[in-house]
Amino acid sequence: MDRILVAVITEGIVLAFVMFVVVMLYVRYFSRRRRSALALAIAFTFWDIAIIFLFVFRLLEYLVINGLILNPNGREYGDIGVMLGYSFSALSNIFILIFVSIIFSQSAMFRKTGMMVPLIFAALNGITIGVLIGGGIRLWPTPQYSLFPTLFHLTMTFIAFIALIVFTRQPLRYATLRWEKAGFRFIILSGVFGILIYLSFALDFLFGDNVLGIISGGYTPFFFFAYVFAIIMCSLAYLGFTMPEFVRKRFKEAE
Amino acid sequence: MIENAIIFSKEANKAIVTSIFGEVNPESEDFSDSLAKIREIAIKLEKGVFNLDLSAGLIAIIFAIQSISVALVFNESLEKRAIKEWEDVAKQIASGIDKIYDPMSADIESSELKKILDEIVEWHLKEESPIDKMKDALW
Repeated sequence: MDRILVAVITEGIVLAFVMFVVVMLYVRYFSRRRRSALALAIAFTFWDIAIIFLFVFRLLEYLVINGLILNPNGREYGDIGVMLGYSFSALSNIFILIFVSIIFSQSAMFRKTGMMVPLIFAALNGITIGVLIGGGIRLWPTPQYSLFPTLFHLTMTFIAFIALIVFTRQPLRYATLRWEKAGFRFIILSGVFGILIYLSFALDFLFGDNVLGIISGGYTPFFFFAYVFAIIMCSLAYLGFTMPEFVRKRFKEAE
Repeated sequence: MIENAIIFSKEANKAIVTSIFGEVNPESEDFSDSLAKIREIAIKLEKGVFNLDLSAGLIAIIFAIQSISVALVFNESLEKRAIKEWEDVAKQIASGIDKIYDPMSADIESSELKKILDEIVEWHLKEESPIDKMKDALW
């Protein structure tokens, strides 16, 4: 099957998973009305918007390449999708750190710095957005994302997910019930897979035609690994962050 | 609920700062016997956590962290989880105090030490634990 079509289908599947997690997080937020639940729901909403852009523009790219629609301006739909996707993913990073700062506010770091850390982090992610959107406007209608924003965004995402992992390890030590421990472990694992997603995208960029050209023809295996990791990350995030009743019950029974 | 906190320096062999968060004053006459018991263990304990039952339903949890011992007095027994959480608080207090306290120097204002102690304990009391927050918001 055409690799672009596989990419479109893969992104559509990931979109369905992310959408499900977003809905479940908003259900939690509207039943509890807590800032932390809202921050997390917003983080996943931005991630959802990122996937929507990636999916829609990948679909447009597929339709153009196969002559199903016209593209008189020669727009690079795939790259436009990535540019917008990374921008919304950067917004998602900010809200992940806000969530961390609310939930783990007891820690010494947030006692000493308050909201300074999320604010600085927001400014740094603003650089990602500025570079991507600026480059997109400058090179319109054929924006190309380069190595710098890719690596910078990768670093920012690492920071967001590592913060989530590191801070979650502490209450994991305190937790006494099995389902509480399981919840924190799911969150940590979702952070690990979150890192793997962006690492795979960076490797796809590095080994693909854009930089080293070791794997030619676009869409290296790393591109698809990233989306497999995304599905695993969403599943673990759903289990860890919302702790559905059937999972809690299972762990309680094993208690 | 925490009643008071007492910080001991093992090198200086004494309590260097106290603070009240509930109703029991660690410097009061009524508490002197309890303070003596706490002091004995706090100075001798090299490392780890010690649970000490006191009179009038009070309990002291003593955390020995290097040259500092942090004794926290509660009016009820704590769950294992709460003890671990307070252990982290004790570590933060010991680390903060260790930075400015010198047993050989007489220049250290006890108000500076008390400020560190109060800030850390009050922050801990004000902010809920991550487990409680997760249960409240999402789980």
